[in-house]
Amino acid sequence: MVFSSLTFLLLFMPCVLLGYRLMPEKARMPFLFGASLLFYGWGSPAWLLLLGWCMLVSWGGTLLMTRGGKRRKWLLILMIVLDLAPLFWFKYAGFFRDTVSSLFGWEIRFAAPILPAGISFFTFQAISYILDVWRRDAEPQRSPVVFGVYLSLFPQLVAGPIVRYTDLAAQLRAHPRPSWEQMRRGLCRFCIGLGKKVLLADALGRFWGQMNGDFAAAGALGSWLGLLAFSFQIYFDFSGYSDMALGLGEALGFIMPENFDHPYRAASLTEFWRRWHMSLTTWFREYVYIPLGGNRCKPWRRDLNVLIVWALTGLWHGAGWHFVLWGLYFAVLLILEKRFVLEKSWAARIPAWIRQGVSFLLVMAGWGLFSGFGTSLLGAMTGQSGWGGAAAQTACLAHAPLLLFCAVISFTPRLPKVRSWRFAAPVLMLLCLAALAAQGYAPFVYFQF
Amino acid sequence: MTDAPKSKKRKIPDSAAVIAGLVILLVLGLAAVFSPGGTFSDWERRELADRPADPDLTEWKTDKAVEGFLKDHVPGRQILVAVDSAAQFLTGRGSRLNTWYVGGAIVEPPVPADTRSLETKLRRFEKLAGDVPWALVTPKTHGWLIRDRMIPSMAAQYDTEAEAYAILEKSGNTVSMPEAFDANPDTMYYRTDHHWTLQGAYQAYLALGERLGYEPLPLEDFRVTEYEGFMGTTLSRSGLPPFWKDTLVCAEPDSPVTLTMNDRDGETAADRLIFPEDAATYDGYAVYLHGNHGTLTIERPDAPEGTLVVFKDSFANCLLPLLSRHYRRIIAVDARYGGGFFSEALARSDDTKAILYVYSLDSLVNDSEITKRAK
Repeated sequence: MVFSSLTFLLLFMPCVLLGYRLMPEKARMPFLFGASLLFYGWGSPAWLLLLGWCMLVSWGGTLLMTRGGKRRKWLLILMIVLDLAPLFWFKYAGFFRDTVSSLFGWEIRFAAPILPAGISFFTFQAISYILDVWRRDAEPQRSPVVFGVYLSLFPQLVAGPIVRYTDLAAQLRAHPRPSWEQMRRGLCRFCIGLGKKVLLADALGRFWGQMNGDFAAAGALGSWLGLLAFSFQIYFDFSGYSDMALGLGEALGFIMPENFDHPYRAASLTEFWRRWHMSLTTWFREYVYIPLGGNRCKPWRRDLNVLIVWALTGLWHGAGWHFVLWGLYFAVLLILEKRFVLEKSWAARIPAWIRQGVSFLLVMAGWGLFSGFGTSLLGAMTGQSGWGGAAAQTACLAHAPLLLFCAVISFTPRLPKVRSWRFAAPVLMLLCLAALAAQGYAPFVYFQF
Repeated sequence: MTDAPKSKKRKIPDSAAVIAGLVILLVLGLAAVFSPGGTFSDWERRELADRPADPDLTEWKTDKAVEGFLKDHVPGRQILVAVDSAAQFLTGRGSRLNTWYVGGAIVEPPVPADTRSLETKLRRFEKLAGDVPWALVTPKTHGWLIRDRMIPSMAAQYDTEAEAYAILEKSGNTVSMPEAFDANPDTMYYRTDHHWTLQGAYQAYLALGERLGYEPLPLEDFRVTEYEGFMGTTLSRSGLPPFWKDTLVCAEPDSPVTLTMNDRDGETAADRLIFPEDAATYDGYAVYLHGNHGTLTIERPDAPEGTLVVFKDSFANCLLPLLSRHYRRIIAVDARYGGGFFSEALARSDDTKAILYVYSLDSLVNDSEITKRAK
């Protein structure tokens, strides 16, 4: 199920939120677990087997781990392999087949499976739990229902944020019953996220989608604005989802970590990645970068660690070489920035708005790689096919107000605060329902990761 | 010194706000779930989604079917669509709705030029007519005529239509519309519909007189009726609230007439060409000839000429009552509604004085049905 679908907004969400609020304490966790399974299995219940497998391996394995002994390490490796196996099969089997075929000329024939929604997210969440228990940072959860709620909690199940078990353990034990004020705040934030997704990201996505990869027809103007639209789309889509997830979490009484902090206002790439998809960045830092040695090693080794982490980050986002290239692009830029720019006095003298602008342009170029249209897009952006035809110019003009609005709310340091979301939220909900009734919903960009 | 008393705002309790919000959403959802479904939407002119049958939860189809059903049956859907369309237009993105708002009128975007298809159709028209005199009426579109009011990039997109008009002009059988048609587009077309008005059709009637050899009559010689509150197809398609409405103006000769309409469902007859009861429906243009039919025959015994065969789309519906003043029999064929009525035998019958093709540019260029042969 998708947050921005009418099925969710008009049936699932009101039933679950009201039901959960009115439920007696003992029934709250089973109710939430059942609701989360319904949410994930809606439309494709077969995928529940994958989620169930991940739950069973992680919950059962960590309980076995508590018995101690030398088996702990082997159990850890076994659990990680068993958790990652479905991810590798569903996400990377086709990629592996194509890569081997093109490298060695072998003909490998099998149909690549459909990628189940959210598999990267709940697999990483399960691994973080296993590693936290193995490192004795967390006690294993003995209740399968409570553990099930942790892994399948519907607000963050399919597109994060990736919540570490230690962040939720105490709240899960408390079986929280949200106050009405929490619910009101949570629903207001949900509406803001829904507005970002439905009113901004989907509209920008249609503009980008109209080009359909034909950047020669779009010309230089269309390609630049198209990439700008894609950059805003991916931000408002994903941060909108995160707002909805955090809002729903709060409405259920759970406080989850923030995932975005105005990333396009960052004055460096390092700062950008501290503000963008923070839960994934934290995951890779905690469970890959630091175990590899982190910063506490020789410079060449530290740079290698950065390259490894970013290659993996790229692969996490998608099974394709352009995703790996995108990850390595940021790795190289971050290494160069750390060595030659950050903490240098000359860099500090550059006005902040210039640093922000340069950072944004580099991030935007990264989204060009990410889109998979790298060379054709670059060619069109450099004017190889002219400024663009009349249709492209009209489309650009038609979307210029929307792009300007997105730029203002992405870059302006301090926007006047809406006095009370109490009244703005219903308006946003009405506009979103109108858009959904008229146009239908579009899936979230991050569902494919 | 004492502080001024603070004004106490009455706040809605959080519990009431949350419960009210969620209950409203749930009521909307349940009302959609329990709606009967499968109904026809007059204003969009399409069947709404049926209730999903035989749910197959093992694949995504059910999920999409449920979503489609809710989308089509959510209460107040027309208002919601109007809100969304208004938001799209206000932010300059009306083109998404396949309609453009230009200076008080809602027009269709340019017709893409498929020159090969157009030339093929012209050859087929020629071949079908054989020795019978024939003429083609394809008026320039509303958008083309008012393109000078558009921003340059929008206007430039009409270059595709220019190619089509150039081909039509080369054909000696295309009827050139009088200058008044191009000079007064606002009176020749409805603001809310892609069809021409009575004034537009009358210009074609004047131009055809010379080509077909009849003496056109002044409009005052016809019985003219008006119907307020017409909301046309382009307005419906835009989804915009009905801020604009047109007045349908009809004209027909004041003498006995028989109209026979043949559809897939069978044959019906009437003794009039104008149907006022249709003016109040969402498809108000059906006021002319009771809408579109596979074939229709207009018989007026006191007219001077023999038979006129017309191959047409809906643009001819407003024109045929005027022409019926001059022909004892008009046989009109709309291949889109009859499926293969394009008949050589019909076109070349002994009594046929002329063949007339009346198509909008869109039908002429893009509709392959119009030149399908009879089975």
